[in-house]
Amino acid sequence: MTHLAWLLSFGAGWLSLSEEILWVRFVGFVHHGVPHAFSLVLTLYLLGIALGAALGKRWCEGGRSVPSTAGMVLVAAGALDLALPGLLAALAKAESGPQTLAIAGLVLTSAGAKAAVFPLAHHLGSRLDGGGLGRSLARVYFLNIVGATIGPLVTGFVLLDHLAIDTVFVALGAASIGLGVWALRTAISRGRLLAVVLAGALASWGALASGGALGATGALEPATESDRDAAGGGMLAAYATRPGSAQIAAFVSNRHGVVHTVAAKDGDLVFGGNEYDGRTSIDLATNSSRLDRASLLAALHPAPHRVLVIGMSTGAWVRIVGSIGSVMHMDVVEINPGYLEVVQRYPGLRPTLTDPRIAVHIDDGRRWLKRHPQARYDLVVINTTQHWRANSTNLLSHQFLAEVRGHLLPGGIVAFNATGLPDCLHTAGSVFRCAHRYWNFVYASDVDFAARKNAATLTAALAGLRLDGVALLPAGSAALASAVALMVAEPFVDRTRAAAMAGRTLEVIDDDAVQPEFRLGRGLRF
Amino acid sequence: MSASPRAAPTEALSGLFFASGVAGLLYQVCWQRLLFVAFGSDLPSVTIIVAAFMSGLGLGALAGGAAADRWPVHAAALFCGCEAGIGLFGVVSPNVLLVAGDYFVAAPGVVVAAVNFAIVLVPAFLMGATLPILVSHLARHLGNVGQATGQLYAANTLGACIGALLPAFVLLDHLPVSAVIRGAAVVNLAVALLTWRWLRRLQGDFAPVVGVP
Repeated sequence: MTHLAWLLSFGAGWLSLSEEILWVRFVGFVHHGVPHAFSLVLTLYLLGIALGAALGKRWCEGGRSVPSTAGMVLVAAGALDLALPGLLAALAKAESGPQTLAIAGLVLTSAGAKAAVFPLAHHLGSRLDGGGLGRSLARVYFLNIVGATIGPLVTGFVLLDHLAIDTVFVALGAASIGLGVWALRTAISRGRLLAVVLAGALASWGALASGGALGATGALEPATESDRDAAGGGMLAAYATRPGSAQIAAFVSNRHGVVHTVAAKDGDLVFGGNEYDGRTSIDLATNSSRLDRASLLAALHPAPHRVLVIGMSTGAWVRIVGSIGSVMHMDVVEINPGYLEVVQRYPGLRPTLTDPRIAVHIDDGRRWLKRHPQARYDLVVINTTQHWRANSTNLLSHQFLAEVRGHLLPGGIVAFNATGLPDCLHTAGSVFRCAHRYWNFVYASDVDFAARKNAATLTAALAGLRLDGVALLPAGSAALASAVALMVAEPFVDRTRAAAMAGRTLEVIDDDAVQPEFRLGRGLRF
Repeated sequence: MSASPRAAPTEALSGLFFASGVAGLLYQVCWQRLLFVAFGSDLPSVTIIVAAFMSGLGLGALAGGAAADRWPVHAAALFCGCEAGIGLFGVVSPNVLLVAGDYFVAAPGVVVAAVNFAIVLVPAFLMGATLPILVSHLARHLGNVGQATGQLYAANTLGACIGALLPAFVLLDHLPVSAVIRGAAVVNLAVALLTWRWLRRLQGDFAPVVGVP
């Protein structure tokens, strides 16, 4: 019985924490990566574990067969796991309030069911008499933690890199049922075991069939079979942002996250972790994703040679900055290699990966800077994500901007996306001598570049932008005149004006204070 | 069973373990943030942190279980020691994490992993030790291991649940990360102090229902 207790404890830990990884991925996707989503899942999960443990404790007091109780609980928990992909896909159609409540209920139930096994395993594997109580307790607990350590590593590193999230839910459900049947095997007669196995198989089939049907009704139609697999059989795709209900063009899911694109007239829309990331277009004439914020740099710096881009996304910005004639080398740092796969699918963006001047590094942007203290640049371009998403503070704080400043060559400029947070400009102004905002982008440097945003300089700079030998805005063209007119008309905003527009005192963003994600963030929306 | 005339040990221990659970999750959420700042916020970083935390809990559990068997009458005092140790580490942890990040971020991945491991392992070890120590203490009183485990595990996890909720939904709107960590440290130190005082008051009342060999 001791070995069964160890196995139950190990298995419950493995299954429980593995599934937590899946819930964090799923709820994070549904809520666009706000840091509150992780906390919500963690809270619900722990509440489920507490309630499950309390339930398990009651079952220990009742004098019932512990292996049989644990076995039945695990079979029921597995059946729920099998049904989850379909249930979750179906919930995509619900109003956000009831939807969040229903998802919370499912998180609680799935966590609680596995946690109920923990006290049962302890009751089975611990010796209250004859000494050794502490050690016997600790062994059961230790094995639970071993399972809880290895499970999420395997799930997060291996399974989610190769399998869709719905498949992993089903695999964990099957494992839970298998473990439950193994526990029952030691406690009930063969006849009853056979009955349980048959009932379990029937319930599993029903759960999978109904899940598939529910999922299919909520599913979208990703472009390829591989996309369909990555989209989790409709489970994630059902929650994917699609302005105008447009078709999903690409869906890439790996252990680092989820990227999808949605078909649109002026360049497909790109979403990272279900939040808008940009467009695939590099057409400066249509300027559908305000690429003028990138091309402006051609005028602000007289002759940039070395460029660092943090946050490659689709590579559209890399292409535009790379079209500046003087650029000789670009380091591009991207945290999710899934974007490389997306870039490959768009012919206009593919040269980002083959241009000999460009070196793409898969890394955390801030860490990359710290690990390359000697690297110096004329331009640093940071077009990452919304300020209210998890860990965005790390790329907006004054500590980070000071790190960037140390990597600028004399006259160098940093440009980064403030994503609507006026405090970003204020923070840049506290680090650099000169800081201005153009639409939602902040440009900062220790030299004053503002005077270079004039019609003559802009016209000369923009006319010089070339990709593969072709001018993006040919000299004398209406497109060039229109681009210059737009840039001249859009004013540079300084810190004082930004504070007046915000109607409040602006704050210097700090690593420790994490204002962009919390106090000044978006929070969880129901 | 010798029921205590002055206190209900189960409820009191559960309450203290609840508070300890709150502090534990405050640390986990906030340390994770600081480690992301120090070493990067990608999947390898998350993995190292989770693995170190869980390994510390596991190894601490083994050590705590062995200690509870070896010094059964001092189990609650051992618990006090663990809580005080966690609290003291909590006080200095923001500085330790950031200084370690500055020194080691450029080091090879293996070194970064080892440093992360070492930093998180110590407090996680102490946290892991508390459950078997306290469960064996209470199980001897109640005469039922499953009941004691369920009671304390539920209390600790319910506390952890509150600890997971507070930073994102309340605390970080008003306080910096380092202040939340130091607040958690105060909770641990208070738990240690209260347990110590409570033990001294109860000396002799809390006789185990099962004889200690």
